[in-house]
Amino acid sequence: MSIVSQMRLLGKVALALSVGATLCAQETTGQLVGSVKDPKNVAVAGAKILIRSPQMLQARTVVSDAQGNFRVPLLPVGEYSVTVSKEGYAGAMATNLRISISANVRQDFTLKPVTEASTVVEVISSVGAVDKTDTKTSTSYSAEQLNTLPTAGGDRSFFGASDLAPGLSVNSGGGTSIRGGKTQSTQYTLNGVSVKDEYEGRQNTTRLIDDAVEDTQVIQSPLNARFGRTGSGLVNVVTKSGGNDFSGSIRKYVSRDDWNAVRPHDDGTRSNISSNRQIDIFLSGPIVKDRIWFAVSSIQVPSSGSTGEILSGENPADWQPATLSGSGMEAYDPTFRNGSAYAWDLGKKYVVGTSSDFIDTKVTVALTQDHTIDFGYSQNKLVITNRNPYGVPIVATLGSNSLSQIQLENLYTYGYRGTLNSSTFLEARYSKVAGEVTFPSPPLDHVRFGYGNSGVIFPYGFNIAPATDARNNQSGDFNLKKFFEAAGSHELDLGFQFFESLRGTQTQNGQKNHRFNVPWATDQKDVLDFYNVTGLDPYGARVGYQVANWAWVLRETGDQQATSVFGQAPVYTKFFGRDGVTKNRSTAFYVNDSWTVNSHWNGMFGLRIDKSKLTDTTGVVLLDKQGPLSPRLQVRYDVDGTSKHLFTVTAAKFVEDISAGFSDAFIKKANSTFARYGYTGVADAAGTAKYVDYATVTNPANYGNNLNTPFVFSDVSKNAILTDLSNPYVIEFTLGYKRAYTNGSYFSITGINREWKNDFLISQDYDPSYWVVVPDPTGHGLPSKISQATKYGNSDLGKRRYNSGELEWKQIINATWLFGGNYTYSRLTGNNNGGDQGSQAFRDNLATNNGFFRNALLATGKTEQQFAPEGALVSDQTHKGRVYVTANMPMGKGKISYSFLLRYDSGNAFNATSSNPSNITSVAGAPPAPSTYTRYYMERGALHFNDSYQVDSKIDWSLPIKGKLQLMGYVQVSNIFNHQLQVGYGSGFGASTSVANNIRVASPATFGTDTGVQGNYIVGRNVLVTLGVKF
Amino acid sequence: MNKTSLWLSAMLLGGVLHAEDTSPLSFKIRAQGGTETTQGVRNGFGAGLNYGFKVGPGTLNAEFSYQYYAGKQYRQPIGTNPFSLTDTTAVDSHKSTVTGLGIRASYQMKLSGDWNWHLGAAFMQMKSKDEAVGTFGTNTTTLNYGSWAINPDKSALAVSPFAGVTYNLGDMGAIEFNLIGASYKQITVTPIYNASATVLNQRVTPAIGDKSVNNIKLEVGYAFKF
Repeated sequence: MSIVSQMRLLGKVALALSVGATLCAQETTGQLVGSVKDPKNVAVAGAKILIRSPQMLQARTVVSDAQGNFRVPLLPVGEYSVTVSKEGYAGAMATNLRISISANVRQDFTLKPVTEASTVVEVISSVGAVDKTDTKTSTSYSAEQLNTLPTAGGDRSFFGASDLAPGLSVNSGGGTSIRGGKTQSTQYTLNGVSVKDEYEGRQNTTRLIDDAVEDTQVIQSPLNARFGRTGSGLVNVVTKSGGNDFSGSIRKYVSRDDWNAVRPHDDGTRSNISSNRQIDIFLSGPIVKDRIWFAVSSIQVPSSGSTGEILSGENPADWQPATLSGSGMEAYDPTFRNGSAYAWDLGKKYVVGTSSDFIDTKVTVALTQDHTIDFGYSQNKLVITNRNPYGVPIVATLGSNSLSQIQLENLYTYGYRGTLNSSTFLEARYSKVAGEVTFPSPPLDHVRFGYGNSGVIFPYGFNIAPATDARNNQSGDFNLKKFFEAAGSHELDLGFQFFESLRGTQTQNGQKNHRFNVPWATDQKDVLDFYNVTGLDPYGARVGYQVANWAWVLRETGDQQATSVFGQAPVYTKFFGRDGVTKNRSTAFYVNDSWTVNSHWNGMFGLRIDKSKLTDTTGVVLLDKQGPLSPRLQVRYDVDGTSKHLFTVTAAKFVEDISAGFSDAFIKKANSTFARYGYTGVADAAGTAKYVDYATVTNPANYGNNLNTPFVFSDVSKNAILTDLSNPYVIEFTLGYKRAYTNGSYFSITGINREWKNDFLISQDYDPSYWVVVPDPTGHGLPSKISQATKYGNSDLGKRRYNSGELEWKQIINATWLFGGNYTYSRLTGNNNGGDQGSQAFRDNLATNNGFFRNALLATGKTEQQFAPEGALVSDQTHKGRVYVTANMPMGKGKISYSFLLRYDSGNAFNATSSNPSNITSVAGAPPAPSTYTRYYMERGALHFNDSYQVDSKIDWSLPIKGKLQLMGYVQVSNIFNHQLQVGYGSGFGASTSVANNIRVASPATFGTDTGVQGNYIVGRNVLVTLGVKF
Repeated sequence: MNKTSLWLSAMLLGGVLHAEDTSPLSFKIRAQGGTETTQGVRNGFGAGLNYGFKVGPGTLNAEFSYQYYAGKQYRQPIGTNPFSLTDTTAVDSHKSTVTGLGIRASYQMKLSGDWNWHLGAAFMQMKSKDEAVGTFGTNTTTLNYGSWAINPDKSALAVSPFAGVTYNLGDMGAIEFNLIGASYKQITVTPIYNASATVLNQRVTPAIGDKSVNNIKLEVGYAFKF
């Protein structure tokens, strides 16, 4: 073998890296690259590079290639030391090398000949060079950084990092938008696995403890084709995996009400009881040294309970609707009969209890030096006693405190990572989120009924266990990585991914295909319509009341015009649908090449193909089609080849998925077909309440009028029309400049342009194509009815554009002081809020703006400027700034740090709108036309709430006690100047009825005033303390 | 920032960085605060791209600069009016912002050690905007004398002199302190009653005017050196 061939082989060997103890996919690991040269800048081939880290199962050695280069991919996130040696040369060593998620850290070495060297090993205090082959735009925060900074709410993972990073905004609905992306498109991954609730469109479950976090990364621009299913960005957290030494921590949180400032509309009452009693525990170490590691973490929260008392006002004899709206639950006792008092319940205490536990385990096994597998399992358990699962507030179950809702959310992960040959690597991962909820099913003598916001009587006691409210998913990720040389060096990724979200039928609908309830006041008309068959006054609420004679019917007051004080009859709903699970499946193939041409030029080209498949609860495939191609391109230019000045240009198309949150309305069929019957049981005389027993009220035979027909039926599944539904996408262009300094400091400026295309359009209009025939599902031969349909498709009618500039910096002033932060100027404009209106906007599937009777409104002379103007969207946040100063002071082997953080956030935009007559004429035989529409009087988002700013501070310490044992903790004081800015106020506009098309503020004229809502002010000064030990 | 401006910025910056090893470019961020509040406006912040020309013993700085003053929403008292309306039945609400774009020019000389002093002026096109919502009469009032929801703006060139010092923090950056005589025209929206208006709901209409604002503010900034 020639020398050249040997060098080439060494080069390949250099790429064959240690698998180490890494966890899984690219999103969870980093890469180390570098070169070895002599003082004359001549490449040193064959140098041994030893890579060590507490995060690696075993130290690894690679060898520099003929050009003196080396590359070590798939390294676990953590701190590294790298030692280089070569016969005839003095060694060199780099320490404190931080490798973050997806980072491509460069560390170059210069080896001096022994004759010149004054020391055997030269130690470099390394900061790592700028990652020139990075294929995304992201902001990473190490656990150490998040420990040091006063993060939002003290959170040191998903939400703390999201609040800190540039390019993210939190809208009034509470969702996080990344670079203008729809909040429900933002992805959240933990160790490379999606942990987002696809139905809610956000991450709302405890999946980790902060002390187990290794690194948190906010990816504003997921350029690498391996990233998909988002038109926003993603937040990725990697947790610790353990090590050859045992380590662990226990941390107690304390936060007392009387430490916090009195807020506006706060009665000033203060408790000295800790409102945060959480304890975090983390332990990791070897099971078999150099072979098997473990990491276990847990959150322990003592059970808490709130005690209430049954007062006289909750006696049904005293009920009035006004009080019912807050608490409509009561117990039913089968011995209780007409006219009896509830005296036996008066003064009775009840307890609503909550307890939660979280545990996470990880085991990493090195099968051989080149093959590693890992397993993970976490469980989040929530137990609520006396739980009302659908309503607020949680209310009592009289006579029993033992009825509990138990909610388990399990996450299973299985990973493999291996070296196939010197330049080829394979990663594979499968994960499964399996949640289950057990609802109470009490005995009959503890039946509860009540008025909820949706008018639901809960079917407890009907001897049924409601179907699980499942929001599960499973996913797989297979990636083949290949390094090769061709006009430079290439890192090629080929992969396949799938993600499937599984959505169980909602529990409140269709249990055993029966439901008994008392409709809320807004449904009263339905009840009255039915009872009108007795021939009484069609608007005579008395008709209903005369037979509304069940135990929970309110007493008549005598004022027969004041209908709101009357009670209502129970209703029986029979469902003809079927419980089941819906499936939203996304599959993708991708290829991505990261190409280093020379020291000045880097490029990346990627292509991703996504496919979506939707299956309804009956197993019918509603959609199975390929989405738009998703190309990704990046070019980076290093002005002088030293990474001092870097320019980056990117162009990409990001394809969004069709999530469960969006498809929920048309994919779920369990409750889609139903008929509703009114109560026809024995009536007492008008004006009195009739009490009946449980068997009577839950006997379907007591429902239905003389014709035994329902008074209403519906088939929602007929109302949904899919119109060539496909994936929306985003076109993004960015231009960035980064200035890097030799001490690790940097600042960067990036300009971003994004535009959404082919976005979802949920539309209704007033023409026959939107009118569907709904047949009688009951078999009673009732005439079919015509119903208004909703179409689900895609369109460019909805406009959404994002233009921004992001400034980010970290200035290491000296060994003590650090000055960092970011600022984002952005404008998110258009007329497509894309579900950002609220956290459940997609779930509600509202046809709004251009989707709401567009053609019919245009036909009446109204303009798009009136019903769908462009302007600032809900997630628009023009200014966002985070500026911090940190002082780090060593204390032996520990340290104390002091940080101050200034937050600045623009106020949310809002609209000047009112409800105006639509003037759409109803057509005989067709569904009634909407009588009103929302009229805009200015451009969208023309008005703004106040900007807010506050200064937070934190003292964080790790003080050595003995050996490895350290006392740790922090005190975080948020809003230290207690500047409680008013960021919300009365902003309502009233319906324009008295003077058509004339804007009015809502009456009374509270516009611009404090409306007595505490949430209109930013939270005042508040204190969070933690204390613990670690080793 | 649209695509064209992205490319233009790249060409400009790239050219400058190629031209010299030690770039005279710096990027500055600033926060500005004062004691005087005018129509809810008091504090602000800004940013700019600065280029330093060696002129004589010092440096002539030219900075392409952006300035933003955030306003806080407020309601004007309804006061006396011919309709006997009160603050609970009528509204005169405002929220102002002022933004500026232009050039800050200054001459800088060494003071001592890492300290420098400078003197200059900001020449900026300042745009004042008022989100004004008014109703004289409410929904419950059959008669309405005028209602509006508007956000008019006015722009005018303003000159704001400033003086201050900078402290160099090595080759990475510098801290800057200034006193600036902030100057701009602020738009005003005032309800005007016109008894002769034939249409009842147009008797009160918003009149747009402006007023000059001049006050002293303290600036703290940081310069990132290229």
